[in-house]
Amino acid sequence: MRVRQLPLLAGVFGRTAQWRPLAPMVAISFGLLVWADLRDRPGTALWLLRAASVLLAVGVAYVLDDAAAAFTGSSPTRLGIRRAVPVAVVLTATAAAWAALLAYGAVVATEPVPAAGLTVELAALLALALALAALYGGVAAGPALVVAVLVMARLPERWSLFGGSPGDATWSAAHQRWVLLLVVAFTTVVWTSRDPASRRRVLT
Amino acid sequence: MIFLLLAVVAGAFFVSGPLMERNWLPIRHRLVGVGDVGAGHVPAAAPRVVRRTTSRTRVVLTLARREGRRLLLHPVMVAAVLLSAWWGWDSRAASPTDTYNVLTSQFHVLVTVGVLGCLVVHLTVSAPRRDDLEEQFSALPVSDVGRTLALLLGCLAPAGAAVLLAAFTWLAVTVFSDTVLLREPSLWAYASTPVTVLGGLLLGVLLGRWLPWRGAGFPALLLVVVVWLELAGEGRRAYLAPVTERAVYDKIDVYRAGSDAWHVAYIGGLCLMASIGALLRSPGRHRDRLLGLGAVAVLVTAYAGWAQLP
Repeated sequence: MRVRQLPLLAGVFGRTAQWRPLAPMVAISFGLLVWADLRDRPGTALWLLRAASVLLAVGVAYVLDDAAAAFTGSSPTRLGIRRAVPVAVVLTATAAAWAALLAYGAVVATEPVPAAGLTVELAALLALALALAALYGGVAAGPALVVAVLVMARLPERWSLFGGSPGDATWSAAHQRWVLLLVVAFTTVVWTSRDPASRRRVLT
Repeated sequence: MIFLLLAVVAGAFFVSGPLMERNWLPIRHRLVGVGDVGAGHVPAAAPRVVRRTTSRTRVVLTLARREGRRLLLHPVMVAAVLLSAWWGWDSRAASPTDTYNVLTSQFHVLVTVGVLGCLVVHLTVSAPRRDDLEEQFSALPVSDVGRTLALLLGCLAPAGAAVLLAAFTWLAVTVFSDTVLLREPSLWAYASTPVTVLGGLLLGVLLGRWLPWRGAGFPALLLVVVVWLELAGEGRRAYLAPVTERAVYDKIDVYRAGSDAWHVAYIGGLCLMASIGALLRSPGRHRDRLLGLGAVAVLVTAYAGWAQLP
């Protein structure tokens, strides 16, 4: 596939991508921040932005749910490219929404918002959502991601992902684990997106 | 006692399915359901048994049993049950106030089996629409109403699992813990957990019938959770939330004075409203009667909601 075909494909995938699950999640994320009135509730911005990142990841989880996958499977374009283009289109929109959420949080909240740490968490959650979608199908990935987040929240302090406050040692250790999760999930997405035709050699 | 009774009923309901499939039950007890016909299980020389398929109630019950097992064995539901058991076991070292709240609100069971179960049910109910199979389903001998009814009855299976999880938590925090309760929760307080979980599952059927699109369950469920959290924080109106903390530690333990029995009736009314709402999606003459029943359910729920307040 030629590189110059990618922008054309991006337009097509932009029209056919699963926007319906993502759009309400973005709206609800903004709604949560506005509803909670961060000015009156110091300390809640961090947790609300975390909730927003989970919602965005749930919305993105549906991107690999392609009703036409059985038909496009026979096309000469490899599975990895077929998945990468819609994922890139949806992730661009998600990144824009996340930037707007962070900006709103930073302006309204009374305490500083740890943007870098929260963005690492969002990246790991997005990778996990895509990995679950690649393994179990796009529709089941949303609820499976919620289960995964609940399990993360129940982890003992030694392995906690949500521990500490910005700047302290526990926060740094937790974010090292987030990076590890990001790497493992991303590797899973890449591994499961290998084209089935190239996975086995035909012996003649 | 209520836990035991519900667990036995749910167990019998779901154990009888595999027994029938393996022909371990005598022929007079065997049912031929919709799934069996497709799987070629209809015995050729058993007209008496085949004639029974005309009984709509029996077909719906058979279908309900299958839907129940399908919901219970969904990977997300299995994960939710395991997570709930882990969470419940971890609640052992809580203070007397927290233990009282764990026993009466069973928040861990509601968040896992109730909320995640709602999403699982939404996935299951909306599957024909998502997979564009509604046309094929319309050719089945069971009507749309019958299939919805079977799904509503199938929700009893995960609710049965919630009963067992609540019993497990009770064992964990009373037998395997040194915490001494300052006040024994009422039987109605215990009963509110499975009824609320059932409400979450029935809400999943309602959402799946009216909003059968990908990811539509999440926003709707979030809306319900936000309303719930808003209500649960209010003083006198806290009982209007499906679940609220019934004990508050303020130098001494303060117990809310609302009626647990009326709270169960209130949640039961909401369950009935969700079921009627799901059935109303199907076109047909039954809608007039359902609307009448729905009006009664609204009145009963409103009265129970008022009567439960302190």
